[in-house]
Amino acid sequence: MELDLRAAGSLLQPVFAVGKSRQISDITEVLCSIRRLCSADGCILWLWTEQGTPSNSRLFAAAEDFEPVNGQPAEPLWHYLLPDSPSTCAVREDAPQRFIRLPDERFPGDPDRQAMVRLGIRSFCTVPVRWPNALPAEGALGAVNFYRRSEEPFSEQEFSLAKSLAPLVPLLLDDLINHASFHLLRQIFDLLHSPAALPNPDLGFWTHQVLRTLQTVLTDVQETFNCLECSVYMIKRDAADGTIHLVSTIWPWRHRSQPASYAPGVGLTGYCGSRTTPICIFDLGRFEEDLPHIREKYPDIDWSVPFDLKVAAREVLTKGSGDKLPPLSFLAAPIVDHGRTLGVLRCCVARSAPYYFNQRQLDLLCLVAGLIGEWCGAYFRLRLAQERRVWLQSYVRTISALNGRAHEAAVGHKRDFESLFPKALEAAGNALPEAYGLAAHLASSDNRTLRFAQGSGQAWTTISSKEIQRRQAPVSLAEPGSPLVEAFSGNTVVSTGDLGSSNYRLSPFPEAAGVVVAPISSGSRKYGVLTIAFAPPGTLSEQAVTVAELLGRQLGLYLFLGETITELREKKEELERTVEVQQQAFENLNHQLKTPVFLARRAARHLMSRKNLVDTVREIPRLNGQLRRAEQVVTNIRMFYDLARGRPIHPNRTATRPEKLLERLSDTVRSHNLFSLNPLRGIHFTVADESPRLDLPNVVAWLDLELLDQMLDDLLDNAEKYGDPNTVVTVRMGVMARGQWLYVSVSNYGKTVSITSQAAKTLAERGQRGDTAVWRGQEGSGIGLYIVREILTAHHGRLEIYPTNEQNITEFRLVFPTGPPDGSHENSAH
Amino acid sequence: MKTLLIEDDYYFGEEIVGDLENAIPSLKGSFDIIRTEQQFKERFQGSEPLQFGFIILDVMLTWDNQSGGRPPAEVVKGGYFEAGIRCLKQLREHPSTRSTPVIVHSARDTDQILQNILKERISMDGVTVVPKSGDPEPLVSAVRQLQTSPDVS
Repeated sequence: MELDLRAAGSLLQPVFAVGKSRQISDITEVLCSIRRLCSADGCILWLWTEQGTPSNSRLFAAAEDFEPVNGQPAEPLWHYLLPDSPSTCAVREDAPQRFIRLPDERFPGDPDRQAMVRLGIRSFCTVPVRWPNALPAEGALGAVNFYRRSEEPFSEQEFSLAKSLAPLVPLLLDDLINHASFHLLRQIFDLLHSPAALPNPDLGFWTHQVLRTLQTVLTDVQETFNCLECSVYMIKRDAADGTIHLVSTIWPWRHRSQPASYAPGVGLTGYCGSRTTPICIFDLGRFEEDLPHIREKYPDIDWSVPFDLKVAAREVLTKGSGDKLPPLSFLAAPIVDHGRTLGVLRCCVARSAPYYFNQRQLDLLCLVAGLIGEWCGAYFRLRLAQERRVWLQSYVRTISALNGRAHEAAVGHKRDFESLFPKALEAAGNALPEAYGLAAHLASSDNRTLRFAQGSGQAWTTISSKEIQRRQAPVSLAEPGSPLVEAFSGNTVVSTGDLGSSNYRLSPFPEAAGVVVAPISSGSRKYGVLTIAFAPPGTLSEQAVTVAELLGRQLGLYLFLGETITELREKKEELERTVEVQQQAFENLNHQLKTPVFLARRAARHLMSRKNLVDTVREIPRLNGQLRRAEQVVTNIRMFYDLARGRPIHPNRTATRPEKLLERLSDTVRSHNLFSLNPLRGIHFTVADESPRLDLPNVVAWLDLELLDQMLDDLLDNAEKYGDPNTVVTVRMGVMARGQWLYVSVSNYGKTVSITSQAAKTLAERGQRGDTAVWRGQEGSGIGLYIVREILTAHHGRLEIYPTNEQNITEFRLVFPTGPPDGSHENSAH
Repeated sequence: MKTLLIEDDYYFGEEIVGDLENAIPSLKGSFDIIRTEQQFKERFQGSEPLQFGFIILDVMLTWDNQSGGRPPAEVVKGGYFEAGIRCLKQLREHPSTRSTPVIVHSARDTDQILQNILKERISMDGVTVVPKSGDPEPLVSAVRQLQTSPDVS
């Protein structure tokens, strides 16, 4: 058959139409043009279904065009051909067929025939077609059928023309798909990259502007695919369970509400989101038949979603008496950014030709989802960076505030820097919102365990108080494989994001998938560890390591500061005490020395001015007494000076028998009676009567008698100062432990100045004075008893202080060992 | 007119009385001696007239030699080092002795005594500081000077 020019021009029309087209549904225009060229009343592109097993495959009407009857569009034809229909046979055999008149007796059982009869079709021809560039072995992908209502069947020439034109249909459909795909991608790319579509991180993501942009994307997808429904589901930012939630949709169904969310793995949408798997179902209307194939392709889908697409689609798609549905195709593409699933883009049911979605549409939808993922991801990253900046600023501000507190504490000489821990951990938690739990442990004093010091984060708020108590148990520093122990021992940061794959359970966060443990240290001084745990795998960031390291050092510095302040304060207090004691001692000694010296000078003056012997003799004891006072002070000063410089006292010991000692004691007591510090007080000194009755004549003590005088003078002066007026101070001598020890005691009576048993323990310390002695405001340097104790120590003896008893008697006992001293250089016995 | 001597050292008190009575016979038998800070407080507690020609005041004074009881907080805190300064303050606050000449007579460093008087915001009017020494002459001279002053009757 030869084409005339008019026919040739008509042939080019669909080609040009494809060039301008932006919608795949324009394939109908192509069918219309070809149909008219072949003088047919109708034309259908039949394609093999792409789902199911080969035995389950069937031809379905991908696109159709029929001449209207009486100006009304023809009712839709049947949507599937049965396996034994003439067209199916022709496609299988890849052989064009012409059916002159219907019914054709060659196909008596053709059930499709009845449909054609109902539609007034009297003849038709079928031409198997292939995809462009398909190999001959791949067989026909379907057929283009031409239908005629008139009595006149297709002539040989018309059949030849049909055979020539039919292959154009898949070729042009392919071009249409390419063209529409390119156009859609370009349009969405431009939309999402336009300045107006860039979300503002300050305003949050799901603003009206963002939702409007997404709606535009869905509209573009719908126009290109001509789908009934198109939706975007996204994972909520803070939701850890992976549930996706509806954020934008084009929803055609009138009476049924759309699922607002899908849990992971639930339904095709939930499955796509949780598995990051694109899904293409050719016909959900034949779900039961195709289920084995679907299950094989997408195992473990949870089909608990009650929504019945077939019923819903029937509401929209069926017209008139037709009750059959075209393929209810379903596509779902994961919205992914840098490997992280953000949501799902899905669409379903093509409402115009071609009435199906296949892998090519799915690929296109995946590309669109990719653009959305990139767009959302860019925003999320921007927002995350901004939030991290804000968190870090907040962290730095908090740490700065903590440093301020630490400074105030340091100035105020407070030592409890551990009290800064809660705020510090809270600041770190705010800077790392993905952190599951934080804990600070401090090493015990014996360095055997890490004791729990402080916790923060959601890990501590979601468990029972009993569990909290359990998790606060100390961690042994001998525990093998513990990152806490490793960080503390090595004074280094330890981080792992793979705790979940090992059998090790981290203390105190056994559910953690990742952890950073940083030492709490300052220089080489280790105090403990800071633990930051992360529950979902993959949430451990470099930032967490940095924050942990910084915070560990910060806490270490606080503790170091506290430690240093404590040491300095103690040293300062000790120094102040020493300085104060020394100043007071100096003042006292100065006063104690000046007074007798001045008085001795005056006595000497008087002595020289006396004319008669009686007056002169009367002056002598006074002069002697003042000189003795002065000498006593000078000796005390010299000994104190020597002892302060670490020079021990070297007594010049001689073997002294009790009788000799008693004489010495009597002399000293006499001297004190002759010249007391204050005669008005009426203190009398005496040696106890029983002292001479020692029945141990062989007892010999090795004593420095000059030093004994010194000690007695100090004790008798104290007794005079602190004893009650008009009382007796008794000096007594005796032996202890069957003669192993010899003692000299001084007892005074005093109600007003008593010595408690507690005071007795420290009274001989340098600079110590009894409380009541201080109250009495008496002069005293606080070194007298200290020197007495040191002199006794040099004699291998000891000072025993008996607190004031119920009879108001206070006793000081000088205890000496009897028998020969270690050295052999001592003088012989007196 | 009585002379008040506040001196806790028995021997120094005797010396001062002897020296001044010998040098200035008009003072013979005029000495009224207080030996502790507590005695001083008891004496000056009320506002009864206490007329003295002049007062000799030691600085380092014991609180109490006679009876027990805890002394006031300032005594416990300041101790006996500043007892004379506390007494001087009270002398200057008492209506009878507000303008009575006082000779502060102490073995302590003079500058230290002056500093402590200033620290307590006590007026130096009528106050003379004479260091204790083995020589009675400085004190005698200071008293003589007071005797010739028209303020001392």
